[in-house]
Amino acid sequence: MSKGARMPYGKLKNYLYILPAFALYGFLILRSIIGTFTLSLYKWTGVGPKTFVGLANFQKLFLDMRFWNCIKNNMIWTGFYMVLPLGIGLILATLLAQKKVRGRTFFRAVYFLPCVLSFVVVGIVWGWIYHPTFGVLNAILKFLGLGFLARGWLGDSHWALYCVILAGSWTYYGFCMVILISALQNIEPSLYDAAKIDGANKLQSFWFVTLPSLKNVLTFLIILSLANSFKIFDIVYIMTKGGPYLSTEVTSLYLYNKAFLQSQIGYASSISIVLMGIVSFMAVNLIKLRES
Amino acid sequence: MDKKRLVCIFVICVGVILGGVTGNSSLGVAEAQTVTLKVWDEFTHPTATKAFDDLIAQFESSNPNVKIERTTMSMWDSKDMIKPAIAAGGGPDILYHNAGPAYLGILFEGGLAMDLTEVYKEKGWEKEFDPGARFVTLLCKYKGKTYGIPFGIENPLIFYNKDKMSRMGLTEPGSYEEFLNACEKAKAEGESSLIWGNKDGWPGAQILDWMFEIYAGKERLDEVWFGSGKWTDNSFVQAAAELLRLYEKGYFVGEPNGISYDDANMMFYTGEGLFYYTGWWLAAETIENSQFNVGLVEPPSPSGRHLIAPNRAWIVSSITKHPETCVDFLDFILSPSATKIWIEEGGYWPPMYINRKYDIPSWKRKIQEIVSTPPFGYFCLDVYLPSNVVEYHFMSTQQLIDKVVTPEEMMENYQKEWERTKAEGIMRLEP
Repeated sequence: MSKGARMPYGKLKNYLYILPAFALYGFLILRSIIGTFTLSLYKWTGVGPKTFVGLANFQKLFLDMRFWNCIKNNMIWTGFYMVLPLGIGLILATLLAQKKVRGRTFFRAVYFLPCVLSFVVVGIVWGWIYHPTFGVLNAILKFLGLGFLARGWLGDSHWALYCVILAGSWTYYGFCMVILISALQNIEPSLYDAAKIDGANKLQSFWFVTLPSLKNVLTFLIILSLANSFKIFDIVYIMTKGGPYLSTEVTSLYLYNKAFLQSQIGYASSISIVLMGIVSFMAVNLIKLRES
Repeated sequence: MDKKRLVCIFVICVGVILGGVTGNSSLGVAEAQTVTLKVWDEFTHPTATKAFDDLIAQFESSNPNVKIERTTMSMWDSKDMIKPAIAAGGGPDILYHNAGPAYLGILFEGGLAMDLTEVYKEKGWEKEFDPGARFVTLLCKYKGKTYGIPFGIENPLIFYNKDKMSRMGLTEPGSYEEFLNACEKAKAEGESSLIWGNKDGWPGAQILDWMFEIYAGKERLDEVWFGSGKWTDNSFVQAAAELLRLYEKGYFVGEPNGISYDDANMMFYTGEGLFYYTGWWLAAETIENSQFNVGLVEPPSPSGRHLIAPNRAWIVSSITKHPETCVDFLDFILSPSATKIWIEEGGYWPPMYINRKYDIPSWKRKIQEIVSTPPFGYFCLDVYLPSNVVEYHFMSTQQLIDKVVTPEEMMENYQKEWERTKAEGIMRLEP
């Protein structure tokens, strides 16, 4: 049999292998996306008949300042999520990846623990930490003679968002640490030996050997941070419900309010589609940037 | 054992099982005649859930062919789940849900609430309704017809620390001026006058409802809702300004915008503050959990009106296959014998027969008088308002005490949302 006759069947066979997984993906994900896009073309309260409005929901959305305020809050989340938990995770991973650190298993477990807590628990506990009258943060500030800094953190529109981000970041750095530890352990030791021979100190080894070797993992974590920061919902809902007066409202919470509290399913669907577009655009460009 | 015997035994077993099933076919037919009603309710408190279970058991024993399947959830879960459930062709036969345009109004708009107008006439409900229930029935009416039965009349209450009050030489405030004097006295003695947890926004909205009653009254609200009145009327601005003044006087504890409702409850129970403004639903829990003697008083207003709202409404799904059975069940749980259980055990005020003698403590008798004696005013405006105005109503007081808006600007925002309600045809109350 000639090569040419074998090729079509070989390609077909490859597609057949991936068909079951794609069918599942298509059923669960693509179907939902298409369904959501379809809903976004209608005005609908969730019950009763739908009214076709075409792209009117999208038109309204692009002029909706509250939506853009949510996007701004999400971008702030993204900025912090990419720096804070990733940065802390990297530092801890670098320290705990070394074999000579005593009790490193214990420390790894302790730092990973916040990851296993539900956002509901985290939100409640951090809500108590930030409490204006019996919260431990204000108590510490007063003890240190910094009582003038004490405030109702989650009731202050200037601080509430950062307070919620801090609580959210606290649950994420452990995950980053674990992933980075695994990646660090896969770096060739000979690279560090070569750097040592070239006269590199620890900081230079970290910058010129460790970081480039972690490029793929860091990209993965950055993309994950991006996706997580745009889909954040539960911790904001528990801690502030988007308040005080929308200062902590994020896009997914706005979407929820529109869909379930104001019964504007069509408009909420348009928010969902635009959000998906924004996240996809950012993720694709991040990957392209890394590859270039 | 050889293969053939195993197969024979297997076939015999299957035959026996199938025979048993088909042999029970006569029972199956009888079971098919059993009506199962799905009821979704929000009675999560142990006493309320027990009371409802008892009523269900009584109804089932008098109606052996009826089975009630109960699903209990919080108000927020009910709001989230009811629309997708009904849209998917499922959901309950009977629903205990918020009345008002933002809630029942949506179901009505979707054609999913059964028209109960004729049922009301047949059963004589509205004639039998107590004055309070008759007042709040407007929340269940759309296009001149009735789609729900208001249930669980609620009113605002100010709880106070009796021990602190007597230590300060104060008595239960009978007027708004006496209330302000008490707040001033408490502040002078280094006490927080009023506990207020406004992180969720709605507690502030309820205090604002009280200010609206003091300065604007039911008439002004009716003018806005059903006439050509505006939210920017000076009476509403004065109400907002008064709330801001109370905050600026330092009567509220700490930073209310940073304190949640649950934390505020806890603070009062542990003895902080002199007064706590909340509602009837918290009465039993407050009296039980507080570490001091608790008094309660209706928030005073010059009009003498009792502010009320229904806790929820009973709604029958328009797609139920058993409308008559649903009505029979509702008629039973609204009966005098059921009302006794609701009041004495469940802690709810049904729409009828409230004004009778029940075995209840004196503080409940106080509430009994309030919710059954006209004249009435509007409480929990979020139940009366359209969904977009409700959203602003919940955040307005946060903005006000944070000085993000002046009282005038706040009421202008209310007016803007009201204009949007009319422009976009968002569901609202009808006169």
